[in-house]
Amino acid sequence: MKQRKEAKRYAKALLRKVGMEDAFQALSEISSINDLMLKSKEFRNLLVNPRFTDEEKENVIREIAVKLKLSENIVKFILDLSQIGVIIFLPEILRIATNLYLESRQKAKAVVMTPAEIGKNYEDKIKASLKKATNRDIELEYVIDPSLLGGILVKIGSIMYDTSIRGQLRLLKDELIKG
Amino acid sequence: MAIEGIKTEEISELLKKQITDFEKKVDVSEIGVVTYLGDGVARVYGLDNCMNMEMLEFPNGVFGMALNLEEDAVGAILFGEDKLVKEGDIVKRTGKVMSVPVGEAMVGRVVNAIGQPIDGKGPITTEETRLVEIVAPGIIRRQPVNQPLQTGLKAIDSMIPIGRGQRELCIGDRQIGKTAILIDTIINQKGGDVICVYCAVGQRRPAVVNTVKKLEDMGAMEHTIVVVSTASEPAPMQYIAPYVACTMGEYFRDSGRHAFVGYDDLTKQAHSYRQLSLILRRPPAREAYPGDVFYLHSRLLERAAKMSDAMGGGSLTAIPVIETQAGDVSGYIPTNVISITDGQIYLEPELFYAGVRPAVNAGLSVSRVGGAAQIKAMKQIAGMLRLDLAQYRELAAFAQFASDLDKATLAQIERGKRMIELLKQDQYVPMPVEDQIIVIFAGTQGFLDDVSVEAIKSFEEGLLRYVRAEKQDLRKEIVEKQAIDDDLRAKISDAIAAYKKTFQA
Repeated sequence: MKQRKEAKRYAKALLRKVGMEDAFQALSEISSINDLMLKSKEFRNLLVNPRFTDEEKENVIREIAVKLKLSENIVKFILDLSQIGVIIFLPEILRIATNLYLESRQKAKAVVMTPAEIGKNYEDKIKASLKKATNRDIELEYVIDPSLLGGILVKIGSIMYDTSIRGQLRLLKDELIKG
Repeated sequence: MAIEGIKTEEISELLKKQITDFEKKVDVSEIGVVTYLGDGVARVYGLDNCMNMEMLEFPNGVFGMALNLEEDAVGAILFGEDKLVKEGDIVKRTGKVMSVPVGEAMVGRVVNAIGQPIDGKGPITTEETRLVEIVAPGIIRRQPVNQPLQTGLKAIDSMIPIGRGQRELCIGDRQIGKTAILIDTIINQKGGDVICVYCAVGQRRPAVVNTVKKLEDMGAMEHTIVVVSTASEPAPMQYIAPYVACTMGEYFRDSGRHAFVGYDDLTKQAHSYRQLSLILRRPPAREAYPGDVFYLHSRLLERAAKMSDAMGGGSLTAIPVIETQAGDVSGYIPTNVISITDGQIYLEPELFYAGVRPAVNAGLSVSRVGGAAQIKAMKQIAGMLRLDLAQYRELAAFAQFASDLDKATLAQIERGKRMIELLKQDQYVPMPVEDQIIVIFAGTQGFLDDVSVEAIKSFEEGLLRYVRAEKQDLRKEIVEKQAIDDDLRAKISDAIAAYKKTFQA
């Protein structure tokens, strides 16, 4: 609970600092740092462990920033988070900031689950029909789940559109039990 | 089973019909993800538009109810095995606020805390469901209590009368006959117009089985619904059971009939609510109960009501049970419930072990509204009884020191001893009100003063046998007149005197 509140505060601060125009860029930069933390234990340790001095941290991050082409704002943001010891909430901060950004842009992220890979031509169709349903621009993320058997299952926020064969079978089962 | 009667073609035809009617449609649902699970409580991330007390569908057929609505998560309680749910599972909204099946079909059945039958007598077909949590009826829809609910217990019907629509607390230590009072009351409604609901919360399973068996043996299940949530069931079930029992009783109240519900017991329910609240991370207050533990009981007991004639004149009487620790009625939960109810029946261990059963302490027990509901005849003789007992209590303590007492005092003590003996009653033998009147009349009018204390019980039994055999019209007259006038007084006195001549201790 407390974590979430704090994470929200930092996410808001981040968006305020970089502004809505550059938010997309900033978010992708932070997500690259986040990925790096997940991949490299040493890097994560450097940021999380208080035994590294601020100077050491700054030197490393500056070097990485050049390679990843990070902007000054983000470097400072990461350093600040590391100094006050809330860097471990970075995934949460990233998630909340992304949601806030999408919300302000009238955009939404949809998770599309299918049993097999779908063709490019379907993508536009899905986007168009989802836009109709939600009144938002949709960003798609694909997940392949063979247990669906067929059809498609879309999750946007906390709403789920289920047309998969698995879902239909479940409904049919309920219907038959109810009689 | 009549399997021969059904043809396989018919079955396949039925299935075909179901399947052809089944249209393929997009299943749109609002979902959340389980992020925490433990001891019957789940935290669900998502479920943006979830309502308070909404039913939630977990995987594997487990249902839950939303209790805490937070910014982006929901705290829910589970009505089922929490082992069937795991972290990361998807939870769906049902769009329905918690409700249970109610109706005539429930009568005679034993159900669990969400209204599912557990007596092995097959499914219950009801047409109606009702919301479990509703606001109690308002003032305009009510009227004052004006009809008696006969418990069949002499000590209660005479001195602590309970009216239909009243809330009367039954309070005392463990193992001194609190449940027995409820069961006797239920048995006494046999053949009457009152539907009984017995709600067992947090009791041992064998104890509940015994109770149901007893009710069946006495033929009392025909007008009774038993709602069971035993100690082995998860806390959410124990928390919700009294509300479910109340909802089932309300169906009869609102259809213009009379219902009685016994909550056995609310101490255990408060315990399970405390458990839930702490796991839901609600701030603990006194004795670690959450801040709304008073409201927990008050909103339940307020639903007991006598409805106005315009609303059908039905009633729901509630007898909650509270278990005290070593007779301490000043605990948190006991004081709360005492202040909510319209009086209490206080059971005392000292009396119980002295052989006074039911162990009702007549001094501490009160009924704040029941007096208005007593039939006039009972009111006339109960005044005398109360006076006799009060004087006895005052003198009995004093008499222990003094050996020489004047005649009047001695007479009062002797009278009191006999009255106490007279109010003793065996379990499972509730007594009709006309019999109670005759017996108590005999006591207060001094007919028993020269009968030895040991012989009171056999005198009482014999007197009632005699009246049943020879003076059937006397009983009828009491029931019809509902009051004792001079003529009736003389008749009863004659009958008692006539029997007394034949009585040999």
